[in-house]
Amino acid sequence: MRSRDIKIFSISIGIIQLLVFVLFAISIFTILSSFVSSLITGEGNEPFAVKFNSPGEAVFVFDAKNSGLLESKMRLRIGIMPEGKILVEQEKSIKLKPKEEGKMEFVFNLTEDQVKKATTLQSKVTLLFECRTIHELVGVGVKLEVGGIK
Amino acid sequence: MRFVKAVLGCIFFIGIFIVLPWYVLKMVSPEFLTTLEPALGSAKYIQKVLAIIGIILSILFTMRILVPRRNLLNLLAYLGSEFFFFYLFLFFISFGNPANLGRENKTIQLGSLGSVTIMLDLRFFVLLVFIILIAKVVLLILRFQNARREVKKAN
Repeated sequence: MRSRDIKIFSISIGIIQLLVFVLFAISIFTILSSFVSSLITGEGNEPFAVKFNSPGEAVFVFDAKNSGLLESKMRLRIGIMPEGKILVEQEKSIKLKPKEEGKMEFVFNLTEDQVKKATTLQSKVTLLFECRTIHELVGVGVKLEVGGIK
Repeated sequence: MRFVKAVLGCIFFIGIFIVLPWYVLKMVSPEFLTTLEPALGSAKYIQKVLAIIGIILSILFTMRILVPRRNLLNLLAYLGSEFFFFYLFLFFISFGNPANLGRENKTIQLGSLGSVTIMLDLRFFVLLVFIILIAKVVLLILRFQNARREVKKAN
């Protein structure tokens, strides 16, 4: 290999390195800004809107927002776990283009027996929220396990 | 001129990896660091690792500048620097656990309330940076061979 070829090879690596750095910065901005804006500025400035239509029926509405520069996929999983076992669980995902907003609605229909189990002190609510970009190759998420939903 | 460049490089690496983290830790309140510890790890440990990396990078930089390009030591210094920068990248994106290769799960216990787990998946970028590292290794070896060939031709 001649010196000229080595120089071209070196410049190419430099350009690729710069592009990877730019892609890294844009994707980190996308996932973090979408993650934060979805969790902080939901309906009524809360991430969730919870409605109880009838005893045993709960509707969770989550407002997702993509404030980033790339398309991102958001995934939300909500579950109720009495005694360490999953009683009910639902998962939904939504793909949002940059600056686009979307809604995820979860309807839980619990029987009287399930309501009794779910409202014990040992019961926990599990929540997983994930935000991914670049064809789901890069992501950030948070998993919450909170007890005492009585 | 080469000596001055080597000294300036050393000052730069020591400033970035030793003086700056020390100054930041001095300015931030210990309570704040204790709050961040479950998520980011021990600040003292991070400071220690950065100081070691800073010293090694300073030595490697001096070797790169002072040893001629046709010398094997120069090639080893360049390769070492590239591998250390890769390690540094892994160290930062994995919150101090380079063995996780860009996938990090940090769980913070909230006492009787429950727990919060923060997940970060940056393996795609680890792969891209690793490919760039391999390309750079190839480039450095080619550059070294070329430098040796030119010396042979001159003789």
